[in-house]
Amino acid sequence: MTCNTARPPLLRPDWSSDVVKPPRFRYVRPTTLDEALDLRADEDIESVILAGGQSLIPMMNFRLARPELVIDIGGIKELRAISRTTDALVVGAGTRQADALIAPEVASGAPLFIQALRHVGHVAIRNRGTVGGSIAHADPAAELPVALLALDGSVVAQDRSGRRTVRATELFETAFTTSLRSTEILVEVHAPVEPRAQVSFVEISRRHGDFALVSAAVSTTVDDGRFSSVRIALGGVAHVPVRCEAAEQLALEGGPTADHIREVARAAAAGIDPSDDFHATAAYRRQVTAVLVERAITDTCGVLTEVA
Amino acid sequence: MTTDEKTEAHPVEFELNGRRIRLQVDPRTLLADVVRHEAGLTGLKIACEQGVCGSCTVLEDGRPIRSCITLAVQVDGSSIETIESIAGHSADLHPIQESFQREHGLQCGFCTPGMVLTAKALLAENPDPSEQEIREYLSGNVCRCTGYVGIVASVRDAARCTRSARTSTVGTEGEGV
Repeated sequence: MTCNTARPPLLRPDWSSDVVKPPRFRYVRPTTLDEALDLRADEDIESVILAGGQSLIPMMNFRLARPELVIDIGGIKELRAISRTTDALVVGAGTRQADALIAPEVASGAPLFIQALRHVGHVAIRNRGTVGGSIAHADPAAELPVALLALDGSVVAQDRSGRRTVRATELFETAFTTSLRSTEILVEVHAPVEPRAQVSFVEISRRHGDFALVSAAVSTTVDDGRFSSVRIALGGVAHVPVRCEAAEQLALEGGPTADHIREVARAAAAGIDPSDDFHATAAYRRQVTAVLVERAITDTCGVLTEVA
Repeated sequence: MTTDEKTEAHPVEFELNGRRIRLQVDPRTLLADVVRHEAGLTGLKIACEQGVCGSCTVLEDGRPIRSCITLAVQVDGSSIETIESIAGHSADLHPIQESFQREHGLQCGFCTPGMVLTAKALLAENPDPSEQEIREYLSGNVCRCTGYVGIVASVRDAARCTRSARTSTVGTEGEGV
């Protein structure tokens, strides 16, 4: 079945670029972090960082984002390093999500990221999207910010004045807004390594790969039949990922039994105040939160629960 | 605030279906538009322009990406493959395309280039995927016609054919997956 239509010449000189969708911008592609930091330092120019572009470019296609200057950090190799110490996993912000998903350091150091990454977009999105980009973009329905919060992780932000560490608890200010300054670039993502913690990431979405309606990331440690450490982070229930502090405190009062886990899940749902929106009602999000938190904690403990 | 003046064209050089091309593009030019308009390769479809439907899928260094949310300038130095290139020189169709034909993996054909390229990447990574693995890997490619059953069957058939071609003692003319 050959195609008999004549092949057009490879390059069509008459095609004009004026019909494309993103608004005009200036573009630079620094090869080193220092160059990128210098570009970012100019506060008179509204610049954005382009990493994978899987969040930024759709916004530019819709003209929701209209930056003056796009700084493409995709060519900066030093931002793609992954390393492990005994205490911490360090993932370069420019690491592709697909690469992080198969990195042995991530699997051993922060398996919660692996679980979360499986829910991020689709294969093609993960092939270009980056770990740092997703966190810096701070979409309220994104998975990596929730996982970072549950891990009590942090990021390193850098500008010409130096580097600073920002804990996840201080990073997310509101939807699509982090506490990073406009001169800064998110360069590293850090997660403390906790070999005895069990983790689970669960989410509910209309289709696999869609943004989560609600997501829950949980880390638990059990000692002598009691929870000695519990962190529960939720996404999709507020403008930022949230920790369920009251539920966490409650969890520490007991151990991994079906009844206690259910109590903790109910407390987590009671502690949030979601709004109705186009995708789901507040009541739905509250109900699903209880289900997901119960499921996630149960996953971490291997406890058998009754089918409700 | 955007600049209204004409922006400077930015050079980009990459391999497209095995040919080195060098362009000067407005940096906002999407890879999808370069492939369709500059290169005339219209197998790639543009539908959602936000990366969710998969009809714009191309392979970058063998990996599926969304060309509608990739700037052409971002693939400098990469090797891009579109659907037009996958059949070998001696064949009309790539084995995966033959499987899609046999197993009714398409109706209107709009999603098909994206499906086939994604399947090609899947089978390169996992030559014996389960149905669940196929569905998972292709979950980023939307089809409005088929209900996916024929697509999954096509990919399974392609996997089976590729495996038997590999283990066959008789040499085959078709290129490897």
